[in-house]
Amino acid sequence: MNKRKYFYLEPFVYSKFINNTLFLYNFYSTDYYVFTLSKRESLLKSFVDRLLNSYSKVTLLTESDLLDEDIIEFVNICRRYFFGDVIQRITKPFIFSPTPQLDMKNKGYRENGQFIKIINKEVIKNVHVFSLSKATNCSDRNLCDNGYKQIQFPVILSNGEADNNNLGLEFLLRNKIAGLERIDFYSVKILKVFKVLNMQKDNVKVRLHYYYSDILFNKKFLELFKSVRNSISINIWANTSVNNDILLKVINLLKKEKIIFKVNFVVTQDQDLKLAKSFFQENNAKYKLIPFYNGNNYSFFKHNVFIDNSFIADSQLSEREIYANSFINRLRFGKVYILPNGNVHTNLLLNSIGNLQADSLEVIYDSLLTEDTSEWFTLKKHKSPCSRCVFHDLCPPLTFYEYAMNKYNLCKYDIKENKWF
Amino acid sequence: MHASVFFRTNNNNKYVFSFNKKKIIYSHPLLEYFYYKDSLRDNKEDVSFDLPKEVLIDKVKYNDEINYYYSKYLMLKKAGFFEPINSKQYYNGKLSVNSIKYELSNLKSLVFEVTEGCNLKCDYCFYGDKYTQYDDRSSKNLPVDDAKAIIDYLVKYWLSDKNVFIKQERFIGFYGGEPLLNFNFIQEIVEYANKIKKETGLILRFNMTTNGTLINRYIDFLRNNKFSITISIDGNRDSNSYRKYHNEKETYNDVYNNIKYIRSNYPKFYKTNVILNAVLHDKNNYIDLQAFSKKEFDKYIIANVVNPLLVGNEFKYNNHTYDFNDKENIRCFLHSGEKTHYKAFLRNFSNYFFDTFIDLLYPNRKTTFHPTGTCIPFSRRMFVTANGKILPCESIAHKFALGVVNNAEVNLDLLEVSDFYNKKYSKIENSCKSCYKINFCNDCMFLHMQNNEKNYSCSRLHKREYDGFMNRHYGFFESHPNLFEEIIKDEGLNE
Repeated sequence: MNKRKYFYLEPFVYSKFINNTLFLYNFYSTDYYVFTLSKRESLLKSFVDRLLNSYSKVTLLTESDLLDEDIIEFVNICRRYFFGDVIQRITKPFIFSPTPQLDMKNKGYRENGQFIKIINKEVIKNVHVFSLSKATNCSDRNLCDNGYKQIQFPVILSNGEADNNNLGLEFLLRNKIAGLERIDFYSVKILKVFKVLNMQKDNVKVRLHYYYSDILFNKKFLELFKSVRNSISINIWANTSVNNDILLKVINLLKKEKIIFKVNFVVTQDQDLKLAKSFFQENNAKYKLIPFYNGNNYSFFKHNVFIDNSFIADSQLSEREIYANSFINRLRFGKVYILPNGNVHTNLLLNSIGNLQADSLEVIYDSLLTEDTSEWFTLKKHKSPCSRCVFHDLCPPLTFYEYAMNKYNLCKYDIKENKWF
Repeated sequence: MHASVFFRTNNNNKYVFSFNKKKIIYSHPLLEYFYYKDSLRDNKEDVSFDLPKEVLIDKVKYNDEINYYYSKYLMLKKAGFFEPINSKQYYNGKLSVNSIKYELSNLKSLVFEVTEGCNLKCDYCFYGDKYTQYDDRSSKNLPVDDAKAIIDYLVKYWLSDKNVFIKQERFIGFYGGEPLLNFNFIQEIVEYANKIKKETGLILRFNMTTNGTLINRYIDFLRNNKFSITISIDGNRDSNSYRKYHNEKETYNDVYNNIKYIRSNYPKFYKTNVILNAVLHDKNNYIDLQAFSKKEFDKYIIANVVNPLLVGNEFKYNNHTYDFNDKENIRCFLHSGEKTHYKAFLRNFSNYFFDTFIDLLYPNRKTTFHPTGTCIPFSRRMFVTANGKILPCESIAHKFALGVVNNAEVNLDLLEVSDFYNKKYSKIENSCKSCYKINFCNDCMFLHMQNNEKNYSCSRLHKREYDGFMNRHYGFFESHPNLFEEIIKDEGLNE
């Protein structure tokens, strides 16, 4: 029998073909290439169609293919980056094509329109419980009123809720959450935190979030805090309008007491970046810059937050992470945000998916896995214009910024022109 | 240590499997050459290997190829493709009491051997006189109070916080002998379970495996309680001839008519709740069996080959062959145990099958592996014999009972159970360490120990046998690539 020529894509190569653009990414070398195919019908286009529209990405190289310059160039580029190879065989080889397969009949999901199968209670990994103090010296109204939705700033000036009737805390005091790995408390009194921890399993990690000046109000807080397990850390929130002396006092106090902490410093403009860097380096404190979109600082975001073409090489995503991106929002999956009134959110900028007072735990779990407002399954590829972009499985998952800015492509990639600006 | 393995299929294509990356890639001869050259230098392999003939003859002509595949080899090597795995990684697992408690809390199936009594005397029955793995059979019935005690024992686990599944369906199964010979037991247990359902909110359902000869007497009760029923029939009259009454009279007519009766009088129930089950032996053939069942009963049958470990070679099944150009043959395949086997192969030899979202997100969750493919006790079911012995399944010899229920008291010492398993593991694990089925073992150690506990032997695979193993499996997909797609679609695995 005669040998024939076949071209195949390696099983360690990711491929995405949208609107005449083909993106190939080698998981092992992290090399990638973007091919722009002509909109007209061509041999190359039908070759690529044949190659990609099969579970095993192997296709015959016909005589016409072998004479087509575009196909030859395509094959050569693929060989150069080890995306694929040409072989001469009698029988077509078989390659397990890397299409991620999720067992949709198994635990932890529900078929749309069908009865509930079973829901794995271990899906909730991280609970954010808000109390939200009314910090009267918070001068940035926009940040202080809306910051908790976008960046989980632990303050609200209007409609502030009290600790006494905090349904989120009550929920955690009554229910042991299987699979829980971390709890974030926002402006919650330390005594309440301890009570919650006694209910939940021993190795749950805890992060306490406070507006910077709230740390100083209670000496007892520090005594109590020092007596707890090592898995607790503190995030102090501040921005450029805070009192630097007080901030410094807080930092020094926590250092003195050897408490693990970090300053989440909210930035909205370029000069904030310089100020923050110099202040924290000078005072040797760990910090993280948290951008906040206030409606007027689009250019700040464009220059400092939007991703550029270095992200593919820099991110070095593993196969698993890319596969995960095609099913779930990796950043948000497993996280729930509970407000004092018992509303449960997966995205604070969207409607809640349920309420702890009105809905049973089962209903909440089900909603997490099925509601349209559940961000657990809302992906870049579901949103325009990212749905038309070949990078959508590699991009960072949807954050709250996209919703705050009402713009899903927070990047410097022009989909129409197929180039980075 | 398990290094990468090169293998060739019957179609003469060569591939290499990486244990470390869980990937199979096509292997050019030059790639293999560079791998073995490196391995010889590092003393990892003692195979002598040289460049392909045509390259040896004219190295200049093939210079570009040599450089290309050397670069490819280096790229793969840097990515860890050829990195061997430490077999200890697979066998560091010891069974703990906590893991058994987890399984009990999430138990999906509790099966009672309602009675040892049976109105049939099938020739291949492994409870028959010829076979000694199980307790001597009389007509003993499992006491109702003992069954209730087991249910009460498990309900405590099912309501504990170790149960991680909301609305987990749990099945209470009735087995025998012939379970319908002790219908009173079934009635009482169903009533008891229904009461528990109301009190606790647990979702309890019922199933039964029956020889089908008595079912019509009780069909209303079974339908009203939404039983899932498995009826055994081995095919047409001749194929079914091993299944007979004590007086040697054949059962075919009775079972056939009963199935037909249920189908015509309870069509909805028949469609959703009745499963047909067959044993494959020397008198039947899987393809013909499915054709028969589709024609007569409009159902595919679940068929299992008679287990030689249990009954020897007396009824040995003569393997069938498929014509994969025929759609009906493909459907038969998709309903077969073979499909399950190939699906397991796909999962074990690639790294993009995920069970749950948690697996997608948390790759480094600690996972303990145990030697062999033996199930963790109670991960599949709990089986209680008519004598009150507690076992992890009905196939295991009764001498390996893990506990007992007697006089309504459950004696199941979980520490003893874990010690028992761990002692068995430690005897076996040395022979597992060199086995190349390290990531694909489905051998049950109990089935292999049935006749000889001291000298454990199983279907171990040496490296030199890997060609044959991979050819059977990977070569299967190479020859029938459409079946890869069919299996994926059939399993509902999709993005």
